[in-house]
Amino acid sequence: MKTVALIRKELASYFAGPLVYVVVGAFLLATGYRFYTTLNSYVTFGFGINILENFWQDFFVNHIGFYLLIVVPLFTMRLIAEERRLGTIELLYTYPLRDTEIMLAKFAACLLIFLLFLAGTALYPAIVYAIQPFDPSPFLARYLGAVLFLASCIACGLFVSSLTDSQVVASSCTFVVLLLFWILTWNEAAVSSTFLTVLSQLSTFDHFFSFARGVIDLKDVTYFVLFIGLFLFLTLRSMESRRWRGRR
Amino acid sequence: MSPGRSGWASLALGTIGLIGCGLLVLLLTYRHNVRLDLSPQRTYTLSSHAKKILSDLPREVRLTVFVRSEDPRTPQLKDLLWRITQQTPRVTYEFIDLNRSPALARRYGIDRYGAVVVESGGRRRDVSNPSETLLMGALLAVTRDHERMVYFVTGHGERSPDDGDRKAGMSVAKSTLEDDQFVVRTLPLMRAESVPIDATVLVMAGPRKDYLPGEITQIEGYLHRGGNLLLLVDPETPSSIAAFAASLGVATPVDRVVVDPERRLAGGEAVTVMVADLLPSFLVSGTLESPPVFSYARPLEIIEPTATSTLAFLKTSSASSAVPENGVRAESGGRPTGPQIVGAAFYPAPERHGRLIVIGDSDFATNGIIDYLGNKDLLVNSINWLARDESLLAARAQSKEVGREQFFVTETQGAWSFWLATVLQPAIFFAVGFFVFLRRRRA
Repeated sequence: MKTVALIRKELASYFAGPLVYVVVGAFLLATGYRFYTTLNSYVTFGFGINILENFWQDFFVNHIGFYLLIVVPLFTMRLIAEERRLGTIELLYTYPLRDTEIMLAKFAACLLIFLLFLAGTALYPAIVYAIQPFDPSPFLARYLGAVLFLASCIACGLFVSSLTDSQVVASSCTFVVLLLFWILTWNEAAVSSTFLTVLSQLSTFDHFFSFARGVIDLKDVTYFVLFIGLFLFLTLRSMESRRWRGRR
Repeated sequence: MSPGRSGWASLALGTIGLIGCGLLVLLLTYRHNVRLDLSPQRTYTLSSHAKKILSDLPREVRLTVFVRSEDPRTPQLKDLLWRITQQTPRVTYEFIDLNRSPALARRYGIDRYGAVVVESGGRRRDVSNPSETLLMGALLAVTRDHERMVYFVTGHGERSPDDGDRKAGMSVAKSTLEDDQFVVRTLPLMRAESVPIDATVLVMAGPRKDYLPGEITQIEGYLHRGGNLLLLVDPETPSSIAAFAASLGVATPVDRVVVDPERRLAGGEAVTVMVADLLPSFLVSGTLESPPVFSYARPLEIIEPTATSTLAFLKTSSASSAVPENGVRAESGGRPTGPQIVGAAFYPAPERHGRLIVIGDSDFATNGIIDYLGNKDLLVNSINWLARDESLLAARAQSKEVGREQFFVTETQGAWSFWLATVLQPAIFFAVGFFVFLRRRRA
């Protein structure tokens, strides 16, 4: 109950200012433009027989996934770092709330905001469906993958934000960490094939790619759940550390 | 220990423990993965045909895959091989980077990226552009010890496996049979003394001209020897073939065509029908995942049917009827006369030791429509049943249908998608943001 109340408070603070609307608008402008240009390019040049499947695969991985990678740190940087800088975190700690409740409320509120981003992207399949109906079932996998990937990015951002007072540091460090996990396997020539197999099990890109094809694999779901769990655990430990480190 | 030290120690231990447990769970799910394939053509799931071949592999098979780094095809190939090894422990594979191990590639004589060397029991088969179908073919080739020959009779206007015509030819059927490790040959009966002794299955694919009495005698002799025959008859099939079919136990009413207004192809003519009733207890029809599509089919009647040796395994719906060939247009919507038999199978009988399948259409196996629904499976299943290779009867991986996922965007549709996706939707959010900004400023 306390967590729900805190989520409401967090959401109210998001929607009170113009930032959410502007960033969602900018995100949808970027993805919308990429949708229009990529669709045109696929239709014009073909790219093989199975044009729609390839198009959605490419669009989800290279555009939606990548743009989320850029936008998420802009939101997560303020989650704890800003409150710490402004001193409002002290106030929050004085409430009869456990650290877990505070963390979960911040995580859930941020996730709900980003679901708004993803909901906006549902317009693109709807447009293509209006032009030519297709089997929509792969989108279940694609959006499940997008939500899991999104939650992973937020969990990582929340953890980094809990480590510092500076929003710039939080934002840039989150971006670097997320980018690193995204591009782990991009240069296949740089590592041995055995090591590459290990890296591919740690890469967010490789696991998200599977969802983008329209496939739900237990191993990919488990990976993202563990990724989220690990960073939430670390966030909690970081928040708790104020007691024995003597900092805010 | 100071609170700081114990705090760090507890943090480190907890984190290491969690990461260790996480990696263990990840490893377990990697080894025992469960997949839900929602792709339109179930592209990332093995077909039941492949599953059957893999579960019946008689010995170990080793695959060596030559790839290059960052080849976009490699992840697909890895996924395919991973699916194969999930199905059977008898297949093992190794990926070799062609650029990093040129000497090994030279030893194998491979100079092409994406090539797979399939080896088993001292036999080897190379696949240069691997797909599920080609890999299954290669697995059969290296693990099977005998050749199965299919002869297509020619010389009487039959459809030919060497004909590449995109509508009437049967070259796709030939390559599909070759993928199942059949050796496909044509047989001009007129020039042969008898049907070759190595013929596993003989196919008469829609003859248009009469056979000479001597040729019919050759085929009868083959059947008496225990040979197996697939006879595809069309409304144009001549009277000598109809008489031959009758001698085998199946009458083919002259000048009749099957129409089925209920199961006609959407927007198409009434003579192009989806076969509605597939006998589930018979392996050839029971393993089909989609019904076959026939065009201009001839109805069949079984003479003196006996439950032990005869099976009508393909029937049209109860709304169908057999109409005179010249009255197709007029009677396409006429009164139904009930289900029409369009496929019958005959087990060995005292007067015939081999197996026999008669199908009332040859168009279904032509290049034009063989990829439609269950057509390809019906042909290959029939030949495998005749060859007594029931283990291979199953639905194959669907080839990607040209045009199915292709679409066109008109100028107007393109403009609409631009305005909706790039302008209108973001503009709504910007406008709300601006409104909130103004309201806050006023407050």
